[in-house]
Amino acid sequence: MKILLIEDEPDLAATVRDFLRGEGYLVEHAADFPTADEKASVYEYDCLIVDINLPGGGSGIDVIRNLKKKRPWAAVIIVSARNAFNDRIVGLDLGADDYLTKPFYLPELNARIKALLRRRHFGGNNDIIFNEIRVNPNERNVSVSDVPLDLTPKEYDLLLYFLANPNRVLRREIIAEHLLGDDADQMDDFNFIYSHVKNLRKKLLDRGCGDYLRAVYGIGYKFTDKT
Amino acid sequence: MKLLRQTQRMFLRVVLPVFATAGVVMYFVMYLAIMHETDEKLAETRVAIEDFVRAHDTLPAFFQRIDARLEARPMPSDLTDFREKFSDTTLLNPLENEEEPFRRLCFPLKIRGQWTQLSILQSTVEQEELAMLVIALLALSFGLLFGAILWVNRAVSRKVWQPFYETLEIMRGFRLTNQEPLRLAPAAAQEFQELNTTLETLTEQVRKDFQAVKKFTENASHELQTPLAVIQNKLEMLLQDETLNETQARQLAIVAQSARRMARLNQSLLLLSKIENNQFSERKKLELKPLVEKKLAWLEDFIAEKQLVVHTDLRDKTLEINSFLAETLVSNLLANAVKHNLVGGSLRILLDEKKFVVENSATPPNAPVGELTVRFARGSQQTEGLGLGLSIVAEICTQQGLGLNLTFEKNLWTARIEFQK
Repeated sequence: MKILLIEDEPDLAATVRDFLRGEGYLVEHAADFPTADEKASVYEYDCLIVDINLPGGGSGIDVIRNLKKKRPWAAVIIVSARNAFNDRIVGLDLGADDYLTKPFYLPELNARIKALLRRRHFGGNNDIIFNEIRVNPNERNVSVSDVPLDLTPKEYDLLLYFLANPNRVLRREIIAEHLLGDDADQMDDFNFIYSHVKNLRKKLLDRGCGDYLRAVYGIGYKFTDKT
Repeated sequence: MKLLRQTQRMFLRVVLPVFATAGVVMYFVMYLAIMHETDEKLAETRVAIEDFVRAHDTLPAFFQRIDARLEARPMPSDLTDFREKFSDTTLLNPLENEEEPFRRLCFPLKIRGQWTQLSILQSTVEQEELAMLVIALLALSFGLLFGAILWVNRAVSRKVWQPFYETLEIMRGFRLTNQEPLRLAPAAAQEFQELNTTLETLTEQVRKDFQAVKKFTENASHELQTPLAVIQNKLEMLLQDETLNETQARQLAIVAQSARRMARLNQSLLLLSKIENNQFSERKKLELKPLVEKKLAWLEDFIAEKQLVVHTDLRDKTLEINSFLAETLVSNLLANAVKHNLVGGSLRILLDEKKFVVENSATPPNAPVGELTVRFARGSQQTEGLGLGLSIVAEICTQQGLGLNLTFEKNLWTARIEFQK
C-alpha cells in the first residue's frame, strides 16, 4: 500500500511518516506544492494525505484539483486547520474522501486510512477479521464465530476503532475524540467511554470471545490477543 | 455642562457684578451732582433773599411756588449759634396730592430787628426723574449689549465648534477592530486641525498595535499547532512502549492530557482571533432546529451520565448566519449547559422566531455573570474548562449581530440569544 503524505512541517511529517511505516505502508513525502503536484500526477498512490496549507505557489486544494482531473478514483484525505471550514468543503466538493482537522491523533488517521482503503477495494471481500470476530463494514454488522452480535452504533464504532488500531494503547481522550469528532474539544470528562467499553467487552465475552479488551493502568484501553 | 453654557456662565459671573457696580456708582454720582446743583441754586436764592431783605426789610411775597417755597419762623433767641444747614425733606404737592422730594436750606436772617429762621425749599423731583431716566436708559443699553454679546457668542461658538462636533461624531464610530484607519475631515481652525491630526496619529498607532497583537495571537497559535501535534503524537507513541511501568505510563498520560488541553486552548485562541479578524464573513440561510437537535444528540452520553432532565421546545427557524460560527455557538452553549449542570439537574432548550434560550440548573458562578465572557474567566472551580467558551460565544454574537444575555437566578443559569438585537 503506497501513501503520499503532503505536509510542509518537517517534524510533523516525520512523525506521521514513521507511524505509517510502522503500520506497514510505503510512505512518500512531499513538503511543498510543486513536489506534491508532480508526485501526485506522475505516480499512482493508494491514498493521499493532503495538508491544505502548502508553500510553493499552490495549496493542497490545487493538488487535489489537478489530481482528480487525471485520476478521479484517487483516495484523498484532507488535513486542514480546525476552523478552515471552507477549505474542507471545497476539498470534499472536489472529490476528497475524508478530512481530518489539525491537530489529529495518529490512531485516528490510521482508522480513516483503513476505512477509506476498505471502501476503495470493494471488489473483493473486505471484512475485518480478528480471530473469531468478523466485521462487515458495508453492512455494519458484527459476528463472533459466525454468530451475529448486536451492538449499539457507539459500540460498533468503538470496536472498529480498536480493530483498526490493535495492540496499541489508546487513551480515553483519543477514543472520545474518535467517537465524538471535533466537538470533543467542548468536553473535559470522558468517563462515559468506560461504560461503552464495559458493555462492548461484556457482549464479546458473552459470545465466548477472547478477552481482548484490556484496561491499561486506568489511562486507556488496548485491544490485543497477546498475553 | 456644555462648554458654551460654561463660558456664558463665567461671562455672566464677571459681567453682572461689573454692570451692577457701574450702575450703583453712576446713580450716586448723578445724585451727588444733582444735590450739588440744587445746593448752589439754593445758595443763590439765599443771596437774593438777603439782598431783598436788606433793601426792603421784609420777605419777598412772590416766593411761594410749587417747586420752590420759603418758610419763615421766629427763632428763639437762645439759638444764636444757629448756622445755615442743608437737608432733604418731602412736601406734599397739592396738585398731584403726593409727597415729593425737596432740598431745604435753613439759615438765620434778621428781619425788622427780629432773628428769623428762614427755610428755602427747592423741589428735586425733576432732577431725580431725570436721573432715573438716565439710569434706566443705561440699564437698557447694558441689557441689550449683554444679550447681543451672549447671542453672538452662541452663534459664533456653534459655528466655530462645528469641526469639533464632526470629529466627535466620527470618533464615536471608531472601533479598534476597524479595518480602515480613522479619517477626520480637515478643519480650518488650527487648533482643531491639530486635534484631528493628533487623534488620527494616536488612533492609528493604537489600531496598528491592536492589529499587531491580534496578528501575533493568530501567528503564535498557528505556529504552536505543529509542535503541539508532534508532542501529542510522540507521547502516544511513547505510551506504546511495552517496557513502561505503571508510574511512567500514568505520568505520560498526564503529560498527554496537558498537551491536549494546551492544543485545545490554542485552537480556541486561534478561533477567537479569526472571528475578531472577520474571517468568517460568509453567511447563508441556515435551519437552526436540525442543528440544535444534532448537537443535543451529540451530547447524549454526557446527558445520560449526569441523568439530566431535558426539556426542549424547538420551532423552525431560519437564520442568515455563518454556518461554522452557528455550529460553534450552539455546541458551546449546549456543552456548557451540560458540563456545568448538576447531577440529576435540568436542561431546557427553547428555539423560536426571536430567540434561542438554554437554561440549566447549576451552582452559582463564583464570578459576576457579566465578567464570564471575559477571557479565562471561569464560573466554577470544579471543572477544568478552558475559560474561553463564553468569550467565543460573546465574540460570535458580536460579530454576527446577535444579542447575548446571560443570567443566573434561583440556581438557574440562562443563556439567551436574541436574533434581533
